[in-house]
Amino acid sequence: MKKKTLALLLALSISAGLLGGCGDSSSDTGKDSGGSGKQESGETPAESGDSKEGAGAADGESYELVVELMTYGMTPADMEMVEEAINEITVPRINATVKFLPITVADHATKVGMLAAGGEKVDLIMTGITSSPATLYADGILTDIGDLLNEHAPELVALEGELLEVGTFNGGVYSVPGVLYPGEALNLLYNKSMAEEYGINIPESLDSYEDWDAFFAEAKSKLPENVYAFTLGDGGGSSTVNWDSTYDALGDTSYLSYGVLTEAETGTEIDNWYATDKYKKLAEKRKEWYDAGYCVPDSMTSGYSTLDCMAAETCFSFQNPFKADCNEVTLSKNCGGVELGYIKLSDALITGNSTSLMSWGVPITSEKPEKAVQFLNLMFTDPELMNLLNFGIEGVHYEKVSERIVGYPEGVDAMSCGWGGFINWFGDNAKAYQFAPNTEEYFDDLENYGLGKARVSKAMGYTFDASAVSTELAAVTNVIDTNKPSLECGLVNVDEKLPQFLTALEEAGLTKIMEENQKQFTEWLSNKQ
Amino acid sequence: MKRKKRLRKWLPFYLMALPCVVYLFINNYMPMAGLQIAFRDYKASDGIWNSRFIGLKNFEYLFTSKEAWIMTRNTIGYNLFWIVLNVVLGIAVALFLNEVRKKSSKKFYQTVILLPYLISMVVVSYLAYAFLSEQTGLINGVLRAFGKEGIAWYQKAGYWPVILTIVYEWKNIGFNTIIFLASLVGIGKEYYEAADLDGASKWKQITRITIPMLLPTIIMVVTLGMGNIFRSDFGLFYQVPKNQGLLNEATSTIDTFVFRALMQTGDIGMSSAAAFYQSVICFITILVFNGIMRRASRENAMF
Repeated sequence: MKKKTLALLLALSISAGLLGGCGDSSSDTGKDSGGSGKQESGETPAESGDSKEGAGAADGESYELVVELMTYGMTPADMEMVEEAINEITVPRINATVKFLPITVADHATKVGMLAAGGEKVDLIMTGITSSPATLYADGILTDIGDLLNEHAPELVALEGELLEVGTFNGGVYSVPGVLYPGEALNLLYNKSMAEEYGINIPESLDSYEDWDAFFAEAKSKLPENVYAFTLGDGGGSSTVNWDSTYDALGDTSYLSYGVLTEAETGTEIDNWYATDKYKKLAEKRKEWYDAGYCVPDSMTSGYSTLDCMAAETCFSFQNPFKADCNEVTLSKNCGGVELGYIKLSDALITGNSTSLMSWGVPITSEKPEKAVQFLNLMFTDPELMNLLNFGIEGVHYEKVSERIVGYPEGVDAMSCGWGGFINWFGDNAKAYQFAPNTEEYFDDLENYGLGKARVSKAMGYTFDASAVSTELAAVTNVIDTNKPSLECGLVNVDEKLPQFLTALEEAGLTKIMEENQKQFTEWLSNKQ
Repeated sequence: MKRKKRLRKWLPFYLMALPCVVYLFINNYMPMAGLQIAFRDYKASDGIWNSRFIGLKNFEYLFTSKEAWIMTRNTIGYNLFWIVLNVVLGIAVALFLNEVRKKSSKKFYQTVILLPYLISMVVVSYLAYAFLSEQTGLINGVLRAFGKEGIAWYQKAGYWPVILTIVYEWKNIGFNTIIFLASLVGIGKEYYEAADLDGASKWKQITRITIPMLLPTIIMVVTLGMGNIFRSDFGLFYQVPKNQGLLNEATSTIDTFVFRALMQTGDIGMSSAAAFYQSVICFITILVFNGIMRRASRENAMF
């Protein structure tokens, strides 16, 4: 009998614990919303002391802005310390405090959707990396901040200029480009010390395939065995960049499944990139290079990425776009520190993709979108705040190297620094510091990636709404994923496989996608004029 | 009166089951309301209940593409073949293990056989790569040592049904062996002693005593396999072939197809549709198989 009672008690307590567990979490969220409700009600129209940022500057209790911090997996150790320093700036200026919400880059896309669906309060999220403003807009996650921007962030609107079109959908502004110099220029980078050691002549430019052939042949003849001139695969089943800088992929840069604008600056017709003569030539050339032994073998399966091969010095050169935050100096870090030289392949081009890559949006769960917009404006105009957000506290997390270049203080490195390890970029590249080994030259070069100097795609600001052709898109994506890598890594006979690939694309419905895209694009163009 | 007594007798048991029932309800039944996502054009702002209803549109891509036939054939084909192989090899290895007399060696073998089951597929893919790499792989090394050409394993789909089967069985055999071994140990010694006295050979003992005694276990293993007939181990079909498009003919299953097709759009409705489709097919197969079993031998059917 005693035993039975004991069992009963035990069972009861376990189930009680279970139910209690559920209850706890729900009461937690209840508390949360209650708290924020209180903040809202505590808002009183106070006498505006510091009205520099306009209307909502100082009204009662500060609003807590929740800002996504996209990390590589580790939350920065000194996050609270930096938050406090930020609040010292933001509270007097816009009467808001900042609280970071660290999200791992791998979880970003799913997490953002869940936050919005779950009604959790978030005020600013990254809209580019691993997702896109267009998808987030289509999913209904973002708020229209067009009017708020004009009212609360005139300086930011002026800075963005035409770039703001990239975050505009159906007349509303849903996303703000986070990098004001979003051009991408293609370059061939090579290992500088190897070039010197083996006496490889570096050509001024690579304009035609004859130039490429000559360059690779020269490199192969001088490089030792088991060191290759180039790599075609990225180590895991995809091919390396073959980004032809004249086209605009209109939103799908990895598969080109929407069709492309072959001549980005002037074109109005959408083509199938894989059916162009240029593509055929490219595939044939890559096959030729592979067969000639210019390229790292096994590069489709080895698990070594292009940068790994550069770091291991088994590969001499690779293609990579340069951007405002990516050049031979920063890439060198990812190549195990080998010194890189480069041959410029094209001038910078601004496309919708390059612009939206790093951008900001206000989710529907923000309680005061106007505060988020005010914070954005401050972030792009106040260098002190920018540097604080990007680099932390001077003397603790960074030290000045020269006027606008900073580095780690003594005894601190990337691993031990309490602020870093995130992807976000805050503010205006031209006003914030830059990290060493970048030099002051960085700021002279920056202009080349901005609206004034870079080439601009005709389709910048256009976004394809693919929802009408999602069935076809799934099939097409699958066909491309199946065929593209082997064609571009020189593994198959181009004359035999390319026509098969094109037929498969046709059957999967690429034409239907392109027709839909063309229809929307033509309409967009006529509305623009 | 009697009823009250019965209730008193069983109540503690029901209460003991309660935590698990609650858990099951919360974790496995409540989320079923979310199945409707498969029929909606999901938008986070509208939520699960209010997104636009679009009927079977989300399912279309699973059937219209040319790949549909390949992936269905591969998924079901591999599974059927492997269910049979699991039983045959599982019993065989269990029989061998059962014959090992020394206790310490028995434990050792058992552990060694089970070990691959616990290794992550990503690691397995590199182990396979160590054998199959075109340049540095073990197999090609041996071939070259004998003056033959190396083989580009990752470029020809034809090799992969065999490679995948070997990898799968190497990885999973330990688990099946344990299940069969547990039943083997439970068979009474007296049957074999009697058979020995009657002069039955070892083979006769296996076919006449062991297999019939194992029948319930075999049926359980097969039924469970049937319940997963339309699913595949994503790691095995994606990581081990190193995501080589050239091998799709042999390595594309419904799971890898859905992954590849939705990489770009990340459509929640369409991915839910795929999972829903898989579940329905598996549910039907398990019911049909169990129905057949019930007809054949009532006492051996699972339910």
